Amino acid sequence: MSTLFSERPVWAERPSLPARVTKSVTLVAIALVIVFPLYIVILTSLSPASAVNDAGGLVLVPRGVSFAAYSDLFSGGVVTRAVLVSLGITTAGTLVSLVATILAAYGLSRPGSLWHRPLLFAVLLTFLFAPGMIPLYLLVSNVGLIDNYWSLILPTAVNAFNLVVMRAFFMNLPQEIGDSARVDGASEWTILTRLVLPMSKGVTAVIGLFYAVGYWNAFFNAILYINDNAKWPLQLILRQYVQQGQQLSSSSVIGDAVHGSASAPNLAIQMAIVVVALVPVTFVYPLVQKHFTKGVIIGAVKG
Amino acid sequence: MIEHNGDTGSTATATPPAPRNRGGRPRGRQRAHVPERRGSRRRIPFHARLRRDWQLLLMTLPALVLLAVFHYTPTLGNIIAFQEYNPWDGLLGSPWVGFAQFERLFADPRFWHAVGNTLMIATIQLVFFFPIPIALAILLDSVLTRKLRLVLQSIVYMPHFFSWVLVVTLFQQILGGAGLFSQVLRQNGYAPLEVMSNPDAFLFVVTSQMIWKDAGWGTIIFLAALAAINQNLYESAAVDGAGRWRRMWHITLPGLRPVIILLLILKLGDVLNVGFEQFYLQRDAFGSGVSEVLDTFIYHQTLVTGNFSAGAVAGLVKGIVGLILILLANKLAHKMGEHGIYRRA
Amino acid sequence: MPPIRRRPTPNRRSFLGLMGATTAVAISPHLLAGCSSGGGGGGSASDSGVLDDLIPDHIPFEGVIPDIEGIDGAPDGFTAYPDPPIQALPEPPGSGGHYSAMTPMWGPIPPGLGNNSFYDYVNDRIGATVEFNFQDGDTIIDKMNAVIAGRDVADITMFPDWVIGLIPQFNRAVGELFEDLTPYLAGDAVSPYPMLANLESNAWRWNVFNEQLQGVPWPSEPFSNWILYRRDLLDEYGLDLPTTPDELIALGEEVNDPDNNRWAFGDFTLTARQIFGAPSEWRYESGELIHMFETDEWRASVEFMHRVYEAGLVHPDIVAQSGNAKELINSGQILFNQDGIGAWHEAYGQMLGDDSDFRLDLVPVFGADGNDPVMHRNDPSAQSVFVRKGMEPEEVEEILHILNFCAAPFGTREYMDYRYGEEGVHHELNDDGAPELTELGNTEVNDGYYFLSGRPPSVTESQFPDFVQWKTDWFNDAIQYAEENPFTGIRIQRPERFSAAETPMTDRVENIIRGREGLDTLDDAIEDWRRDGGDEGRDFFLEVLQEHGRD
Repeated sequence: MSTLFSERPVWAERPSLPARVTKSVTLVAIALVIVFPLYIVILTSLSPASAVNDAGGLVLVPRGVSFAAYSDLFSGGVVTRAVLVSLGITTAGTLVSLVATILAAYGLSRPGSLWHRPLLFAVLLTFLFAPGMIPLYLLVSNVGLIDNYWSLILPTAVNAFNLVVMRAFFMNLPQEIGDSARVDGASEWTILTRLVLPMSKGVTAVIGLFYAVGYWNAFFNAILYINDNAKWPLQLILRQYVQQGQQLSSSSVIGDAVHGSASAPNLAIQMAIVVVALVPVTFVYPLVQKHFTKGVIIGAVKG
Repeated sequence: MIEHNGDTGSTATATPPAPRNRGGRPRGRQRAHVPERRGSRRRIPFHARLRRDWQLLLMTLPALVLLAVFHYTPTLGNIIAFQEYNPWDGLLGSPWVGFAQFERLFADPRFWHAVGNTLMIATIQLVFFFPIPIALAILLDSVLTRKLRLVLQSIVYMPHFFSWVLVVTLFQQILGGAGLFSQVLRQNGYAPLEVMSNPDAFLFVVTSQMIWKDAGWGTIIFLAALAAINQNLYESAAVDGAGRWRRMWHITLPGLRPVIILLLILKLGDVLNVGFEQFYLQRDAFGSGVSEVLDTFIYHQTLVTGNFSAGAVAGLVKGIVGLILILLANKLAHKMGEHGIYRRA
Repeated sequence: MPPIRRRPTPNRRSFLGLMGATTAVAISPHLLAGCSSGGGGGGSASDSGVLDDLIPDHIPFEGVIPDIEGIDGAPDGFTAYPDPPIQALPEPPGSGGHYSAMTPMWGPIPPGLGNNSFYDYVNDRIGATVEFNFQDGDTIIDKMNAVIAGRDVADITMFPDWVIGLIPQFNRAVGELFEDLTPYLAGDAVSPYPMLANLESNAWRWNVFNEQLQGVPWPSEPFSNWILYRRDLLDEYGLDLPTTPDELIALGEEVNDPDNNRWAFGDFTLTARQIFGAPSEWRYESGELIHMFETDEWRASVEFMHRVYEAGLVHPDIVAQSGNAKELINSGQILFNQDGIGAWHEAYGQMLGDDSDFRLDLVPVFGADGNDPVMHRNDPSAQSVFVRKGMEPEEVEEILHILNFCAAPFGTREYMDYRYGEEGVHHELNDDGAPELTELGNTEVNDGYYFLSGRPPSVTESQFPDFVQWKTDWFNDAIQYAEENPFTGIRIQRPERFSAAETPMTDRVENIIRGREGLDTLDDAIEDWRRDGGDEGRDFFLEVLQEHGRD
């Protein structure tokens, strides 16, 4: 079935013409509403100084192309390095998070198992009550993680929301499979890895995406825990470009920046930053979507 | 207690896992059997349950340790809500003031004004924002061509990665008084749009911004849930003569229901967190009368005054309100025959 | 400086950044919470005679003579780049030490020590190694609160002055975390550090905490905000500059043309206060303190801004609080905008290459109703640099030598070194003798050393046509209207309720200015402000005056 995606299932009727037209128009409208602003962002990032200066804001009409913003960003290798740091943190963090979350979500997914209610409640509380900035800083400092990449992973490694959602998906699987495997003497580990996970690729991909996006976008923990600029993640490095010039003129007292002579206009750089941060995102979604395959899952068991 | 489990576990490794539940184990969505199971569970002695469930407990261990160390420990720091806290003197050195911080917050009419605005926005979010990702997911899922589906889905989730600053700027440049539409209107002799700084349009504008930014992102989880629906059900329904809408009503929506209910309940727990930046950025544009939400109120309280304790108070209040709402909603879900977050014991 | 500028984020858009979805963590208010005093701590510095024993003797450096002298604290002007620059210090002052430095940074992070030839060059010139850890400028207050709670300071730490004002109990922390510099610098002890001795005394006084000299100052320009206008475009219209508020509105109506995408104004609320002669915070009159909010002059400025907004002269983006005023004035969509004075040469750097006729200028100061304006002064020092406590005296001295190097003023070789790196490598001199960064310089050169110390403010960008002349003219004119502030030189941590009462007040004023509330609600707003902390602040400030014998 999964290979026949583009074809209408034999049992499905062909929708009426007005229905098809309505649907197409709706989809095109939705796409346009999103694509147009996206186009403005990309266009501005590629605009030469004259176009940005004349527009007095984001550029709506193309007037020449310049890659100055991108070359400004990638000169010097700081951004390139930060990309690697962020990729590393995102990969390692997502792995740690997924493993811990899957295990716990499964561990808490059997109704009636020992202590599952108090433990679940304990997890839920973390969704409701957040620690303050300073206690968290003191903790990270006391366990010696300042300037250590793990300080960007461990404090946010388990997210209660993701855990609870994953658990709900596990609970919606037909329970019989686990039960019969258990009777056959399978360990919980086997049931999880051999039966539950293969049936939960979709939600695993989604929760993995949620974690990955969280790590990719995070910068505030790095502000607090990472003093060494060489270890800064991409988003924090990129923020610095956005701040350029803004603080300077709001308080003229703190100096005139040496970098005022950067070749690309500030706004173009800011938009280039948005684009740069967006690029990996466009690559990731197809990987996630691939796991939304239909039919195989529950059809195999016939709940 | 968790370590103790681990120990017990290691002695029990050789023991085959005890059969969990006999007979009347509820299948999938048949909740009618739940009370029966509840009765049977109570009869199993503790050590037998431990022997049966030690593996499950062990599995929860990594997450619980992480949460205990990096969440619970620092969260204890929220007791500064009962202090006149300052970072230099720290938790131990700052003076204790009992509930004085709470009293001060509750006595402030601007706090209640912010709560009112927050609840209004939360309600709007629930009614107008929450259903949209569901509808959008169903619509996207109905696109049959795989490539087109992929492209559309990739496009709609992208605005999530725009910061609020950028979203607000884009709205201003397109819908603002000097924006694209207004320019066209002016050039053709019409009055320009006046939505981006009109307090009466505030709820409309912020809701549109939310939908634009996050509706696509919100579809992802529903797309995963849609994929998990048994496709055979559609086929047999179609064979039985159920049309498109009936299939959606009787198969798709029930299939999504557990996820919808779960997200709804979690959303209620988060009801006082409607967002910060979006309102902070548009405060002067629309005025604090409509745009002051709890988080911006607390921000201004703490920012200018350095009152960390007030922030902790607000955090505790939000958490407690969220907890109460989650528990109530969960109960309500049970009454309606749903699991909610966790099943009734 | 009006109190509103004490908010650490003058530009609301800047601090959250433009990229990425911000995580819930980053926006939760207790994380963003900045700080200032608990009500108890009074003024911490005093202007009594004791203070003068704690600060360095002022020994002006005479190696560089300005072309245009700044009057009475206004910045000096240099109409050309000195050629060759003066060598101010005979030899590298360091003795090979290695020190960490933590400063905020608003701008791209350069490659670090080991991958950065600019650092190698300057460290070589200094004779010691400085290793920078830059901090995110917009969130510096969060970082500094955490650093202070964790007592984790670097060897050399820079605090912007507004951050000091917002950190609770900074008065107490400073003496325990940072070295007392009094024995090293007070009186003639400063003589080994001639560039530090060149910094003016008020800036040093501002860095005395608990009767100890703690920090090295950054002497600030006297004023920070005023109305910039498009001089080139106004010349095209052939219109005269305003000399009264009414003329300003009339001029605005003349040039306002929304159909052609041109509006007259951005916002200039802070400037209007000064035009109408409101005090920056308190006015002391016959034994009583009157707050700005309570003066007729301030009220007149609010009414004036209300008229400006009502007349539709303000660009819709500014009404909607979009942060793009600079882009709007640069593109000519608005002609007048209040901004930091530093925006001027910044705009030149960005625009002149593209449009050589582009000209900005500051509107000459004028008053209302035949009165003089009241120009609000900056605090005397814009930042402080502290040395970690517990270092060996020789190390402290070496650090002070490094700071001394970085205090070398415009016109010296040292200044060129720490700002622009090595000639021919990091920068080239253009036809005007102005340094232009090379490609390598653009990547590596940064403001790190510049932030390690202050230097006398000066106007130096002579590569921009008429810029130095126009700017120094404006300052020398404006300085005569500088406010007599009863609290000049006293560092004050404001009572919490007084600070907290300000936001609701400014919110309501915004409402009135933008026509969401009537002018008649102003009295209510002031009444509420008095009740919610204003009166408490008045008592507190009165006590401070008495403490310092200024009543």
